[in-house]
Amino acid sequence: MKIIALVLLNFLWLSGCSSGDSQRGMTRKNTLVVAWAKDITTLDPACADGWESAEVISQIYEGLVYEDPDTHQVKMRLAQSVKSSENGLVWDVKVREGIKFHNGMVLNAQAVAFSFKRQMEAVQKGTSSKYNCNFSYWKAYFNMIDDVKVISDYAVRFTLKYNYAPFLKMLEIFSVYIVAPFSEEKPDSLDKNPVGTGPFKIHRRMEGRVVLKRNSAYWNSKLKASYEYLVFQTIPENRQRVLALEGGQADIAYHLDPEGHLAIGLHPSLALKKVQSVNVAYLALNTQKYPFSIRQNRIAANHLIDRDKINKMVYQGTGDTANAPIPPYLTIDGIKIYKKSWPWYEYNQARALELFREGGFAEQMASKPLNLYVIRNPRGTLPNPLLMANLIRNDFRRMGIEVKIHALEYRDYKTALATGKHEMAIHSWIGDLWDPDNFLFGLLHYSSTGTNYSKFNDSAYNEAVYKGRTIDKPSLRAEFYRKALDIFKNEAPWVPLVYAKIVVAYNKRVLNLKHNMDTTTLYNLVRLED
Amino acid sequence: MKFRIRHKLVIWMAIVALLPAITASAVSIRVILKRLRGNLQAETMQNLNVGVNLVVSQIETVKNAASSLVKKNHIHVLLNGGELTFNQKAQIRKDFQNLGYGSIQTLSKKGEVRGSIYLGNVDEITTKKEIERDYEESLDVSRDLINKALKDYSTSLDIFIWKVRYGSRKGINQIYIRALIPILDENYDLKGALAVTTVLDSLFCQNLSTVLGSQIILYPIEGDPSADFVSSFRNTDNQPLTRIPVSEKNISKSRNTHSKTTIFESTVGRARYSFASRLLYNNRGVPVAVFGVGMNVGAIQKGRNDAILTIVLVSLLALLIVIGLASWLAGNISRPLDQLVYKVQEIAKGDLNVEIEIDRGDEIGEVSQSFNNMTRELRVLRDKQAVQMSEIQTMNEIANAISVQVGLENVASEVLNSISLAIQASDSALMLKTEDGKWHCVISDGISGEKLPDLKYKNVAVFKAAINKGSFIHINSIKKEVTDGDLEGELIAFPVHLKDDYLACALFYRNTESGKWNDVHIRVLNRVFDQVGIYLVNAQLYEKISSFNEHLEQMVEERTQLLIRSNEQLENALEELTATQYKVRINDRLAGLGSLMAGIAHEINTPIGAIEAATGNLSRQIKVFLDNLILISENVHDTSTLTFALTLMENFLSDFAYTTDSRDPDREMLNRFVEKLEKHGVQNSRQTARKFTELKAVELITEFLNQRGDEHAPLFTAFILEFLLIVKNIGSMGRATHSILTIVKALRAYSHVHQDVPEWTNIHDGIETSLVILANRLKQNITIVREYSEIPPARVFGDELSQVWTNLITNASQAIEGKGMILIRTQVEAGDKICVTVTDTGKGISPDVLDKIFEPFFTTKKTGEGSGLGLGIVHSIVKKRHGGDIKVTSRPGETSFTVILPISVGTEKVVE
Repeated sequence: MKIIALVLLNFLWLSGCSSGDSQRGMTRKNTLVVAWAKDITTLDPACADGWESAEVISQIYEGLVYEDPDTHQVKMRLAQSVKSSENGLVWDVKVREGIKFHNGMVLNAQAVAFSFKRQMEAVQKGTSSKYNCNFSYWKAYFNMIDDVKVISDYAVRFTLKYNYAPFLKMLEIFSVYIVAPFSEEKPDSLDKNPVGTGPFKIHRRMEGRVVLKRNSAYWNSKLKASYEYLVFQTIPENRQRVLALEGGQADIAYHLDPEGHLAIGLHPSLALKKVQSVNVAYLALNTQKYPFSIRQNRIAANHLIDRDKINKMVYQGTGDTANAPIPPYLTIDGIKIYKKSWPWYEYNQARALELFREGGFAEQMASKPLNLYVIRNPRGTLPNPLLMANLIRNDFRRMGIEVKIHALEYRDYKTALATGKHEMAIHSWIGDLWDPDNFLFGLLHYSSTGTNYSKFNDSAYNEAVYKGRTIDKPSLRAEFYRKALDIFKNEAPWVPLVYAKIVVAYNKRVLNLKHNMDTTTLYNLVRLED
Repeated sequence: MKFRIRHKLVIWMAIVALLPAITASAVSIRVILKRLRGNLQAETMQNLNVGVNLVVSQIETVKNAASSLVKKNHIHVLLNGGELTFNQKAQIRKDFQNLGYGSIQTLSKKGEVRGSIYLGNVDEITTKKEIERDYEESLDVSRDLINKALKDYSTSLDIFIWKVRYGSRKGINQIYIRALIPILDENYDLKGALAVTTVLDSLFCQNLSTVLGSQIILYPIEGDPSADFVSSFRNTDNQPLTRIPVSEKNISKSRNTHSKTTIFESTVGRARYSFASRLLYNNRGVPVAVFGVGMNVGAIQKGRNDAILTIVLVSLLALLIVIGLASWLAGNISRPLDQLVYKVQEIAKGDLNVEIEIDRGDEIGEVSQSFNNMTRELRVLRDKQAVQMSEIQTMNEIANAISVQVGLENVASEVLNSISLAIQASDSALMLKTEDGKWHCVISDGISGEKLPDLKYKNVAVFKAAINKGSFIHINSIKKEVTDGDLEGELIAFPVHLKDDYLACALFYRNTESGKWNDVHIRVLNRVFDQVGIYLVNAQLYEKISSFNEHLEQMVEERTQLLIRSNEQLENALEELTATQYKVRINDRLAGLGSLMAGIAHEINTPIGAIEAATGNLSRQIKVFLDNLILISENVHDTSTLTFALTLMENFLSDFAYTTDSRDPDREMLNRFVEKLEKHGVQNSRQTARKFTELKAVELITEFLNQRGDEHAPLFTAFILEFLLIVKNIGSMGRATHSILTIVKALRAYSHVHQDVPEWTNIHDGIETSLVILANRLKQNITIVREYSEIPPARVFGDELSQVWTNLITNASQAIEGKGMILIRTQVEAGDKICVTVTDTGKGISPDVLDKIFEPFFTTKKTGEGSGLGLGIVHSIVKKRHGGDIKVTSRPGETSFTVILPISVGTEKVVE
C-alpha cells in the first residue's frame, strides 16, 4: 500500500515540477520598473541634490525620523526616541536597537554620529572637493549643529548653536539619512556601493539604470516589499517612456509632459495619479545684476508675465498659479501663514512698462537681451521647461525685450547659476520638509548660497526668517513668516509661477502607490497584481 | 488483509504498469491541454494588449496630426472662414490618410464651426457634404472639451459613440476618436480650436488586423451590437460579415464593466477563434466600447487532439502487453505453489506421512524435495522424542514425590516407593551409613525386602559390592549369580552418593516373570539417584537443625534474664550519678561565691578605710576653719570682704567637681602665682600655691586677691584654703561611698539568680557589673580593654548572663595567669544578634580538648581548682536559655569565646 502511495507521489511530483515556475531572477511578476527622464547623480545621501537621486536614496537609506504623509506629524524611524532640553539646544536621540545595515553591520550610535559628522567635518575643514560633492544640504540646513556626540552604544547627542524650531523635522531630510560607516580614504564609497538600512538594497548600477533588490532582512517586517526587484530606468525621450509604459516594460513613468498624459488617460491598462507636493516653480530674478538689481524692474517683470497662461498651457490645468514662495497649504502646526486670496501683482503690461521706466530699464530694453537659464529635461514640477521659457520670452518680447534661453543639463545649469551668469532662471523647489523655513530661509536667506538663485539679501527679510526658525511657538513663527512674505512681495526677488502637482503614470497592476511628503515614493508598500 | 500470490501479482502489475500508464497518460494529456490553452490564452492576451496599444497609438496619431496641423498656416485660413484650394485640401487628406475616414473642423473662439474638411476617399459629392455635416453636428458631444480648449489652452482627446444621421450608415452607432487642440498664433495667443475626428470602422479593424495578425472586433458598449459592430473578419466573398460572430452571452460578458478582460471562444465560419476583449473608456473614465482580438485556434486544436489520441493508444497497448504477461506468470507460479501449500498444511496438522509429488527443476521443485526430506527427518525425531519424554516424565514424578517429604525415614520410604512403582519392583530396601560408618537398613518394602541387604554377590553383600564398585550392580538372575538366597528374579543395587561419599545404597528386586529391566530403566535410575543423595543428606541435616533449635531457645531465655538484671543496676547507678552532679554544681557555686566574697570584702574595705581617714581629717579641718572665721570676725570689721569671699566660695562649690589631676602645673604660671601670693604677704607661698593649683582654685583666689587684696589677704587665703580642703575631703568620702554602693548593687544583681521573664537590659551594664565583682581578681598586671560598639538594649535574662560574663572573664584571668590583657568586644551581627567576645592572651586551649570544653565536669585545671562546671553552665545559659550560641577559637596567645545572643529572646520560658 505504501509503495502505491510512493509511486503515485512520485508521479504527482514530476508533473508538479514540470508545471512549476523554475525560473528565478527578474521576471515581470517580481519586478517593478520605474521609467524617468533623468538619471540619478549620486547615491551618497549627503551629496544628492536632485529629486531622482533622493527617490533612489529613500529606498536604500532611512532617516532617524519621518513625517507621516497624512497627519504631518514627525514619527520615529531609526530613532527609538528623541528628547530635547528645555532650551532646545541639546537633543538626545536614542537609536533603535537590533537593526542591521545591508552589509550586516549593526546600526548604532557610532553609525548615526558618522552620518552627520562626516558632512560637518568636510564642510568645516573645507575638504568637500575630495568628495566631489558640495554638501549643499548640510550648508543650507544644518549649520546650526554645533556637535554630534556618541554618549552610549545607542545614544547620540546633538548640540545646537541656537534653538532651531524645525530641528526634529530636519532629521527626516534624505541628506542626513543614516549610512554605514566607511573609510574616509574612499570618499566615494556610498556612490559606488550604497549601504543603508532601507527596504531595498543595491543590486546593480549602470549608466541610466539602477537595479535595487528587496532587503529581505528588513527590520520592519510589516514594511517589507512584496516583490523582488525595483528598477529605475532612464528613458529621456517622452514618447519612448510612454511606449515602455504601454508595452509593459515599465510600470511607473515620471516626468511625462502633460500632453503625454492625454493618451494615457484613454489607455485601459494605465492610470494617472496627481501627487500633491509642497513645491513651487518660479522665475528667480538675479537681484545682484542689472536690471533686476532695481526693485521696480523686478516688480515690472511680475506684471509682465502671464502666470495664469503658463499654468494652463504648461501644466494643462494640473497646477495652481503661485502667489507666494510657499503654497497656501503649507502650515505650521495647522496655522495658515497666508490666505489663498493673498494678492500678487496682476498681469498688466502697461503697468510693467511704467515700472521699467521708473527702474530706468525702459531705455535699454531694446539693446539689452536678458539671459534666461532653464534645465532642459522635464521634471515632475517642471513638465515642459522649454515651453515655459518660451512663454516667458514671449511676454518679454511684447515689451520689446529680447530674452536668450539657455536650456542646459542639470549640472551645467547649477554651475552657471552659481557663477551668477543669469538674469533670470526658471527653477522649481520641492520642500524637503513640511515647514516654511525650508522655502523662506533655504531659498531666500542670504546665507543659503547654494539655493538662493536670486541672490536675494534683505536684512529685514533675513531677520524675519531667522527669527522664524529660532522660535518654538507656532503662532509667533507664523507672524514672522507673514512679515517675511510682505517683504518678499515688496522686494519681488522672484516671479512665483506655479504650485505643481506631480503626475505619475502607472500600470493598473501597480497597487497601493503612495508618496511621502517630499514626493519620494513608498515603493516598499506597492503590491503587484498578477 | 490477506492476499493470494496471484492476487498480489495482479496488484503488482497494476502498480508497476497500469497505474503509471494511466497517470502518465492523464498527466501528459493535462499538460498538453494546459500548455495549449495557456499558450493560446497568453497569446490571445498578448495580442489584445498589443491591439489596445495600437488603438491608443491611433489616438496618439490623431492628436499628433492635429498638433502638426495646428501649426500650419492654412489652418488659420480655414479658421477665418476662407476656402482652401483643392490642392491644399488634397495635401491635408494625404497627410491624414493613415487615419482612415474622418473629418477636420476649425472652431472660432466662440466655439462656432468655421470650416470642415472630410478625410478619406469619398466619391460622391453629396455624400461628402453629408459626412461633413454629420461630423459638425457630432461636435455637440465634445462641447465641454471645446470650451476647455478655448478657455484653458487645454488639449484633449476622447473616444465617443455617435449615431450617424446622414448617408448610407444612418442610424448606426459608430465609434470615434477626437482630438481637440487650441489654435494659437506665433505669440501664443489663442485664435480658436481645431477638432480632428476619425471613425473606428471596419477599415480601421482591417488595418489593425494586418499589423497584429489576429482578427479585430469592435462594438459599442450600449445598443444593438449586431447592427453596430465592426470587425476585420471577411466572409468567403471577401466581404465584411453581416452577422456578429460573438454569442449574446459572450457579448454581455464582454460588456461587463467590472471585468478587466474577457476571454471566450467562438466559431466564425468553419474556424474556431479564441477571443480576448477589454473595454475602451472615454476621457471621463466611462466605458464606451468593447475591443476584442480573436485568434484562430483550429490548427492548434487539431495538433492537440492528435497528440492526445497517440498517447491514449500507446498507453492501451502497453497495458494489454503487461496484463497478458502478468496472467501467464501468475498461472505458472501460483498453481504448483498452491499444491505445495496444501501439503504443508497437512504436515502442519501432524500427518508426517505426507509426501509431495512435484517434479520440477525450478525453485518450487527444490522446495518440494526439501519438504519431503524434512518430513522424513521429522518422523525419526518424533519417535526418539517419545521415548525420551516418557523417561523424563518418570524422573519428574519420582523427584516430585521425594521432594515433598520431610524427615529421613519419610524421604527414604518415598524414594523406595516411587522408584519401585516406576520400575515395577516388587521389593526394595535402603541401606544407610550411620555417622560412625556402619551400615544399617533404614527401611525395606515388600515380602522379601528385609532379605535384600543380606544377599551376597561374590561373597560380599550386594550393596557393599555396588558401593565398592562405585556404580550399580544389575543381577539378571539371583538364582544364578547370587551365592545364597532362595529368591528368584532380578536384583539391582544402586549406590547413593553425594560428591565422593557413598552414604546409602538402594536395592530393588522383582521376580523373573515381570520381565527384564532394560537400559531405559537403568538410565532413569541413574538420573534419579544422582539427586537422591542430596535429598537424603538434606533429610539428615533437617533432623539435626530441629534439635539444635530447641537448645538455642532455652539459652536466649537465660541470657535475657541476665540482661534485665544488669539494666536495673545501671539505672540505679545513673540516678546516683545525677544526684551527685547536682551536689557538685551547688558546691561549685558556693565555692565560687566564697572566693568572690573574699574579693568583695577587700573591695569594700578600701573605700571604708578612705572614709574613715577622711572623717578624721574633717573634724580637724572644720576646727581650723572655724578658728580662721573667728580670727576674721575679730580683725576684719568690714564684713563686705568676708561676704565677697563667701560668695566666691559658694560659687566655687556649685561648680565643683573634683578630679585628681596628675599633671604638673605649668611652672611659669605657678611661679607667677607664687609671686602674687608673696606680694600679698601670704606665708609659705609656694606650698599654698601648689595646694590651690591642686584644688583648681587658682582663679578663685586670684579673683579674691585682685578685688580685696588688702592687709587681711593672708588671713583670707588661709580661710579659703581650709574651706577648700574640707570640700576635697567630703568629695573623697562621696566617691568611696559610691564605690561601695556599686559593689553592693552588683552583688545584689549577682544573687538575683533566676528570672522568669526576659527583660530589656543593657548588655554593657551586665558586663560592667561582672567586672566590678571580679575587680579584686583583675588587679595586678591585667589590662581590661573594652571595645564596645553601639548595641541596642537586648531582651534577655540579664542576671543569668552576668554569670556568663563572670565565668568567661574569670576563665580568661586564669588563663593569662594574672598577667596580660583581656579584650571584651561587643557588636551587632546580622541586625538581630549581639556578639560578645572575650579574648585573652593566655597560652590557649589545646586543639584535642577544644570540642570537649563545654561538657559538664570537663576541666583543665588541677584537681580542686575548679569543678569543671563553669563553661557547662555558660553553654546551657546561652544556648538553652537564650537560644543563642557560643563559639570558641584558640591558639597560643589568643583565645576567644564569642557569645551570640538574639536581641530578643522568645517570651515563652525556655526550659533548661
